[in-house]
Amino acid sequence: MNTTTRFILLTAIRDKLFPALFILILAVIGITRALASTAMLEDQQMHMVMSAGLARIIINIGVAVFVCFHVRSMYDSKEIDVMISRPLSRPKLVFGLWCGFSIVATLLCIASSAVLFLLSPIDIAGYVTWSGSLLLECWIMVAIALFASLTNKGAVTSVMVTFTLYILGRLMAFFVATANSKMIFKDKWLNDIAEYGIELISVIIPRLDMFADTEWLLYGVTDKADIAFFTTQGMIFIPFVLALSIIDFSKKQF
Amino acid sequence: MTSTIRYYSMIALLLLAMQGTFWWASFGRLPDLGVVPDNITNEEMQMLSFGDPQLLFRILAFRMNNAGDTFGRFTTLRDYDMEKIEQWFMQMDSLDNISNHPASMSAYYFSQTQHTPDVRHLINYLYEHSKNRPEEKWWWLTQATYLALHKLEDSDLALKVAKPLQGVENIPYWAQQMPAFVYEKRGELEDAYLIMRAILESEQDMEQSEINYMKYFIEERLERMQEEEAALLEKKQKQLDTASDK
Repeated sequence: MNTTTRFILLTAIRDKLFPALFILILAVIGITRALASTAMLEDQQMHMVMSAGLARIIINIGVAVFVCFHVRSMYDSKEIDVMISRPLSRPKLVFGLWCGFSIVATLLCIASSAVLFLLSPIDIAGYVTWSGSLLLECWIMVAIALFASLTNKGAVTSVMVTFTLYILGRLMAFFVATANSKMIFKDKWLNDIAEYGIELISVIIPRLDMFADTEWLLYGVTDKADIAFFTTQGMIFIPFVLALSIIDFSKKQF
Repeated sequence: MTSTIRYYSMIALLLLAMQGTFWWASFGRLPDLGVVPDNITNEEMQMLSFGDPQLLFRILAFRMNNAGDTFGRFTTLRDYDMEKIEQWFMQMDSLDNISNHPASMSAYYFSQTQHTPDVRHLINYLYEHSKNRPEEKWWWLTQATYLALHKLEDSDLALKVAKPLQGVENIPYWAQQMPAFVYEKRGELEDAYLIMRAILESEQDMEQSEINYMKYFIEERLERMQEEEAALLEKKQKQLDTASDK
C-alpha cells in the first residue's frame, strides 16, 4: 500500500500538479486582490472570501481531473495489471490509491490554507474549521473521482460523472428545498412524485454544501452543529464510495 | 497536389468572403451592457450560490460596486435604476445580512444621485436592513433618517425610519435622540421633548456634555412651548374680548 501511495505522489510530482495548481491559486489570489481593491468597503473580506472560494473550486477540480486521468492512464499503460499481480488484495489497492490521491489533495489544501492565512483571516477558529472542512471535501472528491474512474472506461466520462456528482452535492439542498415547496408543477400528484424522487436521490448524494463555507472565515462558525454535520458526512460518505469502488473493482476481469 | 491546394484555397476564400458578409450583418448585434443588471429570483440566487452564499454575496457586492462603470464607461448616478438596486440589496441580504457593504453603498454612494426621488429606494433598503436590529445597525438608521429629512425632505418617512432608534440601549445618545430631532423638524415640540425626557429618565451613565446638551434642548423647547401656549392664550383672550365687546 505504501508503494502505491508513493507511486501516486511521484506521478503527481512528475506531472507538475503541485506547481501548476499552486501557481493557479496564487494567480487567483492576485486577481481577487485587484478586484477587491475596487470595493468601497470590506475589501479585505471580499479578497478573503473570493480567494478561498475560488481556491476551493480549483483544488477540487484539479484533484478530480488528476485522479480520473491518472487511473485511466494506469489502465492504458497496464500499470494496474502490474499492481494487481503483486501480493496485494484488490480492496487494499483501492484503499492505497485513495490514500495516495488524498495525500496529494492534503498537500494542496495545506499549501492553499497557508497562503490564505497570510491574508489575515478575520476569524481564526472559522479559518481552522474552513481548512479542515476543505480537506474533508477534497477527500470526498478523491473518493468520488476514484469510483468514477474505476467504473468508467473513458477519462472524460469519469471527469463528467465526478463533476455531475459534485454539482449535485453542492445543489442537493436547494433541489430538496425546491421540491418540498411543491410549487414546481401545477398538479399535486406531480409535485409529490418530484418531492419523493428528489428526496430519494438526495439519500445517496453527499451534502457538499455543508463543506468549506466561506462565511466561517469572516464571522466564525455560528452554529457548532455545522462542524458535526460535515464531519459526519465525510466519515460516512468516503467509506461508502470506497466500498462501492472495491465491489466494482473486485468484479473486474483483467 | 497543386490542384488540391488551389481547390482548398478557393473554398477558404469563399468562406472568408462569407465570414465578412456575416460580420457585416451581425456587427450591430452587441450585448446590452446595461447600467444595473436585471434582478433574478431568490431561487435562482440560491442555486447560483452553489452552496456557498458568502462567495456569491461578495461577487454580487463587487458587481454592484462597479455597475455602470465597466467596459470603459462612466455612468452618471441619475441613470441608475435605483428600484433594481434596492431589490438587489434586499436579495443580497438573504445571503449575508451582517455585512455593511450594501448599506454603505446605499448611504454614501447611490444616495448622491442627482434624481432625488430615487433616494427613497435607498432609504427603504436601509430601513429594511436595520429596523429589526437597531442595536447593531443604528448607524444606517441614522443615515437613512438624515437622507429622508434633508435630501428627500419627507419628514413622515424620516420619522418612520428614526422610530426604531427610540429607547434602544447601548447606542450613542445622539442616535437615540434621532426621533426627537425629526419631531422638532416637524414642529411637534412636545413629542421631541418627551423623547428627550424618556432618555434622561432611563439612562444611568451620561456624561456631563450629554446632560448639558439635553438640558439646553429641553429648556429651549419648554421655553418655546411656553411662548406658543402664551401666544395661544393671548389669541383666545382677544377672541373672547372681541366677542364680549360686540
